[in-house]
Amino acid sequence: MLGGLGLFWVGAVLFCNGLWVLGKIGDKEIGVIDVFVGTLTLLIALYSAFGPGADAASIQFATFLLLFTFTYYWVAWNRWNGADGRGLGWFCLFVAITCAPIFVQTLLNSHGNFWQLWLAINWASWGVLWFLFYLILARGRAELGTFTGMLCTAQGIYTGWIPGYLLVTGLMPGAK
Amino acid sequence: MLGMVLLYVGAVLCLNGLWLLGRIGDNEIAVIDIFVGGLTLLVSLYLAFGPVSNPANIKAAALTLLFTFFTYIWVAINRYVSSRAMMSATLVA
Repeated sequence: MLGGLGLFWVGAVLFCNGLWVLGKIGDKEIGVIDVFVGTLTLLIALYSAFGPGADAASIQFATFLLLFTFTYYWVAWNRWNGADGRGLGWFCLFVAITCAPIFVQTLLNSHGNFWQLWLAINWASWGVLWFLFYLILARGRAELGTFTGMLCTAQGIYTGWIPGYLLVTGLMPGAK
Repeated sequence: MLGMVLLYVGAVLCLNGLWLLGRIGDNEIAVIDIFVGGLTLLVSLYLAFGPVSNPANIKAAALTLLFTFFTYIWVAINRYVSSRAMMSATLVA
């Protein structure tokens, strides 16, 4: 259930960040949602790692969730520290590479479960998106901006908003 | 818990290496140092003072803090302190 809460808001932040990359949201404003969702996912990660009932699976969940927490905080931070964003770009490469084995493991362990298959597609999608962030920020491939912005907005809808809503309302097929 | 710390120690070492190679700016590297410093600090406090506290975990906390304070957070602080130090040096010169 905490996963659904996190995903729903990851949907919101990806949706807004995609629109920001497309120039539809201002530089000074986008940090607001990044800090909100960064803090929410941070709290979920801390509860999962240190709270009652923490186990190997919940620590794994917290570990991977923090990849996103740090990205959102970093986006917000870079709006006012005057940085050129290359550090965030390289961190995004770290995230993208980490997504690859998570995608393979999730797919192999899904055994045809609808939600687990969806989650595997999510990890593949995030890996691609974060790799695009790396190309733009650390490699200066600014021409990829429009495509990346549209993909980011679309991923907000299909990797976060919809599955998050289905999970918290108990409508997701195959979710326990 | 150790796996979580090590994954992010991997991230901070990779990025600090790229920073030393000049591929990441001085005003940006502190971000990841603060993040991972904060995370290793939380894990250390949990190991030392949390419900799992025992002599072995207190030792692990003590050693993890070597990285937390004396590397990551110090690197981050120096990004601000040294810029001021350089400024005053310029003024003297």
